[in-house]
Amino acid sequence: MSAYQESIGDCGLHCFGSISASISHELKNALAIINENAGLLEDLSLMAEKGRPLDPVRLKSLAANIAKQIQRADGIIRNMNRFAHSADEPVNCIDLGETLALTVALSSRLAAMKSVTLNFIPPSQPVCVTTRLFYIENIVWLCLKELFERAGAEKEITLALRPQPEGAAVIFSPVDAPVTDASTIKLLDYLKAAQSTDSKHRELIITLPADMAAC
Amino acid sequence: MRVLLVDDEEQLVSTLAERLQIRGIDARWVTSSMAALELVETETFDLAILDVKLPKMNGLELKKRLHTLHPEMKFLFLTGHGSEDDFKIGAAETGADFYLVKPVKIESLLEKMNEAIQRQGESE
Repeated sequence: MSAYQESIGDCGLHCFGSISASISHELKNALAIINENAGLLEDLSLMAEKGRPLDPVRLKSLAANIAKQIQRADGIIRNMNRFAHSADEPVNCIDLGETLALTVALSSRLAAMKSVTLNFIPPSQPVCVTTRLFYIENIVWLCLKELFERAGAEKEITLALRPQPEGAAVIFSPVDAPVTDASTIKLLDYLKAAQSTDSKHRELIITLPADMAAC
Repeated sequence: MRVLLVDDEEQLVSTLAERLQIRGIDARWVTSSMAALELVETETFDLAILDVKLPKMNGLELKKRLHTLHPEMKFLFLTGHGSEDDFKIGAAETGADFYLVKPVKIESLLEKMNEAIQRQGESE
């Protein structure tokens, strides 16, 4: 990864750091909700000791809240684990559908902070390219970050995938102009990927070569 | 004491409000800065407990707006991040003592609420 590190390593570190911070924030929130629900159970128990009757429906609801947050935290940690290992995965045939779904999940907090609804339309069949998993996460995250900032009145970004004869296209819509962030353009160049816009369909199209193994 | 809680995690803020109510505190909650600004048009609060990272308008900006509208209102910040940068920014707004990292123990929160009411009042 040395050529990558020399040219655009900082933007990879920035992506890794930002996503990690977002994950820690989400986990803290899940823990805080568990903490308050457990605390409320304790409060109700103490009141029951003093004679106030316990409502079983209320207890069930608090237990369900805790279980829901544990599931949420488990999902966040699973995504975190997949993301953490993506940085040290070698060049491989990458399932873009899976990778985009993960990147969308990892970007959901950032989207929420910008009041943007983020959607992903999974492909009907696997779409693969050969590269490092982290490069795809990095380029998609960089694009999303810029697009969230300039999301129009729709406040909605939808990602889709399209297989192409010599690679794949990652589609962002509705988008009217190409991305301009210097790091994103540098990474696109590094991957020999290209961006274009379709004004009729209001799409930003990132075209990825099938084989980026040399990068 | 009348308290306004603002956090985009509804389950967190509603449960925390219920726990404060059990302790005799008149607590209201909302999940956005806009809803907080709307609420303070018709109601007054002694203290606002704000999440730092709120969508659209963050907690620091919300604090400034609330302070302009109600200079007597006191503030506590809650954050999920706990990064040094966040701490510095939050602490600069209210003082390090009034910046709490989630999850927080209710006893610590109550203590800080009382301190905020007393100490921020003294400094004005």
